[in-house]
Amino acid sequence: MKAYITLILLSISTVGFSQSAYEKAILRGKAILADANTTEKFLEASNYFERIANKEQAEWLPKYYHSLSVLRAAMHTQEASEKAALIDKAQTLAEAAHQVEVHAEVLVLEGFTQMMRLTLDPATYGQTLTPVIFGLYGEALAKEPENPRALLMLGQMQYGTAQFFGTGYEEACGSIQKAYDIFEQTEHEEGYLLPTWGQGQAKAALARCSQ
Amino acid sequence: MKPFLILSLCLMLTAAKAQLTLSGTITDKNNEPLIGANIYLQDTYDGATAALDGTFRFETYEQGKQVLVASFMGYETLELELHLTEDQILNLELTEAFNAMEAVTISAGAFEASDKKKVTVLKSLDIATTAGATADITGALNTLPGTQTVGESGRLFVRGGTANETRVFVDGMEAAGYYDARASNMPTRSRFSPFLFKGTFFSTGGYSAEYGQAMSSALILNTLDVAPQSKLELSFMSLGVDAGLTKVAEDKSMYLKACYINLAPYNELISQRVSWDHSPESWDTNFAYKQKLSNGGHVKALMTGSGGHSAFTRPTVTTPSGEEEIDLRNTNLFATTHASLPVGEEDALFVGISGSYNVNDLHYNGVNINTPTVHGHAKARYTAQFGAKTSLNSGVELSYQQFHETVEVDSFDMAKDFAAYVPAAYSELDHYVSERLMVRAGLRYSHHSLLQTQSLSPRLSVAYKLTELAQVSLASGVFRQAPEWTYLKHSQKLEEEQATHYILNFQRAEGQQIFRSEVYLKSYDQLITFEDVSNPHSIKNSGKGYAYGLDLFWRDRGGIENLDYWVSYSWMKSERKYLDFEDWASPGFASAHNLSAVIKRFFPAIRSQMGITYSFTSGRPYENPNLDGFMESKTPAYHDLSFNIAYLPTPNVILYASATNLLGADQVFSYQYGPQRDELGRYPEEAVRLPAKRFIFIGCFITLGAAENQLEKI
Repeated sequence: MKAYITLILLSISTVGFSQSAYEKAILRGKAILADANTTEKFLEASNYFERIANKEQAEWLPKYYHSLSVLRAAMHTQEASEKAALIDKAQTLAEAAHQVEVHAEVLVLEGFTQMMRLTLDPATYGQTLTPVIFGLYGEALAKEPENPRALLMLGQMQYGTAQFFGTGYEEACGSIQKAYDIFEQTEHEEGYLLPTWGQGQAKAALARCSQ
Repeated sequence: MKPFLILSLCLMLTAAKAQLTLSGTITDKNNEPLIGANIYLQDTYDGATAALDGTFRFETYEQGKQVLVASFMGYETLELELHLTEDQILNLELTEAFNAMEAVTISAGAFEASDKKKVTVLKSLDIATTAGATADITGALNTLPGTQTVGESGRLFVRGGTANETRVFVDGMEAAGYYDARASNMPTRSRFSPFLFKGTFFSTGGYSAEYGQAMSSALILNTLDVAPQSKLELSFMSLGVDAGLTKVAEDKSMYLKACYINLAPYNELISQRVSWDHSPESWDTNFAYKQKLSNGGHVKALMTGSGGHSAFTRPTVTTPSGEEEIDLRNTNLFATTHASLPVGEEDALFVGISGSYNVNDLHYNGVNINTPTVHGHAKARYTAQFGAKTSLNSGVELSYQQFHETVEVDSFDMAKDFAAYVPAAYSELDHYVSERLMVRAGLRYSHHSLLQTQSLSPRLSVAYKLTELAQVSLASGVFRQAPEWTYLKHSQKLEEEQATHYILNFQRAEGQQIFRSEVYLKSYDQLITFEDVSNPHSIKNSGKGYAYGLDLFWRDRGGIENLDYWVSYSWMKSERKYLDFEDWASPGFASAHNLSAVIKRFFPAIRSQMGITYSFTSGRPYENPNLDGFMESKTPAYHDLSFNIAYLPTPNVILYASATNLLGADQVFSYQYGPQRDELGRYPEEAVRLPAKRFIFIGCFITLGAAENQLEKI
């Protein structure tokens, strides 16, 4: 019995120890970001990841989350010039993550950033950025064909294009449905560090599709 | 029991490391809280975000020597060394970072078409989508204030200057063959497609010391960066066909294009005022290469080759035979390449070279004129940055031009040629006294090998930001250029011509609205004069001239949804006493009033953009030998209403149509007179008009991207 307890306790402590300070920090940041709903909260998340990124220069993930937090802050900002400044910052940070590792998630984030820029001034950026954005999602899907965020963002871009050209939404909604299904089927164990966002967005996009 | 012991031991160890609290406030200079500022210990995860009242508070286990960092967007990051032994309360103050993007800019004389800068008059795409411009760079720039419409030429005439007073650069390198070769009174176009460029910088005066040999204006075209995606573009136009292929690899891209234009079917369909013996036919090829370097620099190259042939006969009073028979063949090659390399943290080195070869073969009523010309340009520029507020741009360059002309009349040959070197050096300092005040001072030295002249040209600009949205700027300088080859071939005992500019600009930009007004004074000196151009001794530099005026510009993009429009108005007074002018007079290309209104509207329901451009130019002076006085007459005012429509049926297809002079106005640019009096004792008169009343264009542009995997099939 005694040995049994010791074993349990030991295993608990090993689980505890195996999660490094870095991992804990990322997880905590993910929680702050997931709960954020105001510009201030997004700034708090962005500041938090900035600290981790500054310490862990060789990691792409803190840079990724730093950029994502800034981009989310941009989405919650109404004032045009401030919004543009935040998008610029998010892009610079995404590019910094890209320098460390050309991860599919980074490519999706870069595409997401450019998509936000496109919405600022579609008349100016539409022609130049559309191929860039499709290119980034395509590249991400070439690396990870089942990445739900890449599929979701691609679907949203296709949706916007279809809306503009008045063509059918089949292709767009197909991508969104596929993304949604993958989100539904995927379960992440506790302590999963990589990005997991997008399920709610996929659900909302799918609802638009079924209208 | 043992594991519990270990556990408590662990807890004790952690507890031994005392937890400290760092708290305080963070504000700017005016004691305003910096909400959302990041305050943390360097190389740790410990830190906090400033709350709504600017306060912060966080715990740390770190001890001893630590660096506290406070950062906030738009502010200088603060680093503070701390020795941590106990709780600390800190009151931090950040200073605003100098931001060149927010700072004042020199807007006097400067028009920028770009997508990057915060305040721009034009977007890159505007060059291609302005009605009436027919996708010609010059055409779009002619809707800006400070330009005078000279419809029979198609070139840029800036503020009382001739077309030869504007010099064109591609990526900082001279592009001598910018205009396509045309017979006189046939409007020309730029040889360069607007789609080769990401931005255009057009100066109507007071420009940087980096640019010389131009008395009125500098046009700087900046080529596209590495392309994002491979694609194949096909164009089917009422005038010809065009195919362009872009191939992209990691950090580099290549572009190859070929185009064939033939106006014969068009000229059959639309009635023409001249009789075409050979309708304009031309070919054009482009090759572009760009590469991003791992050190942050880049290398770019652009090569273009084009050629054309046209021949026509038109009735005229200016020749004894009563007609002009013109046959023109042209071949033009242009190549430029440059490298831009970062040096250290902030400096940059640019080295570039360009060359062009042009040959015109003109047959005019039995006279054959053959003119091969060669231009070369090499330049090295070093930009040194001294902190965020000061930079020094210095460079050396060498221009070379070689000109040859053979005139053949009845198997009698006359040949003239010359070659000239123009070495030059310049240095220019940009200094921000503050975010509100900027000074640019430059000096240019130039030598002309043929004229044996040396000159120093100073340039000075100042810009001051009045409010967040408004600024004033002042630009002045001396601008010189060698006389045109038309005179240089006869006499080389000449001086450089020169112009002095004074420009005062006011600009207010709010969101997508921009208002500019500019007043200027330009005085010309040492202009060419002659009694008889073929007598070299009569050619001198004793001419003078002046121009002053007011330019206004207003643009609103999106103030009304999907609507984008701009209005330009220029008023100018310009007179010269030059060439063989008997007296001071306004030259024939100078018009007092120029107005352009450009409207573009996007209709989302039909996925179409429609554009209308209205241009007005008041009467231009001309000399009527039947009347007393000199340059005493004025042409009727010029009106043009042009329209274009672009329809996007699918994401990769554009259907485009455009037409000029919708209202069918009689556009008369000038009058010409015969050399002899007729029976009534009058010199016979004829009007100078375009070869056709209007110009209609239809095209279909298809882009096949890599996304569709079409490229793999090629």
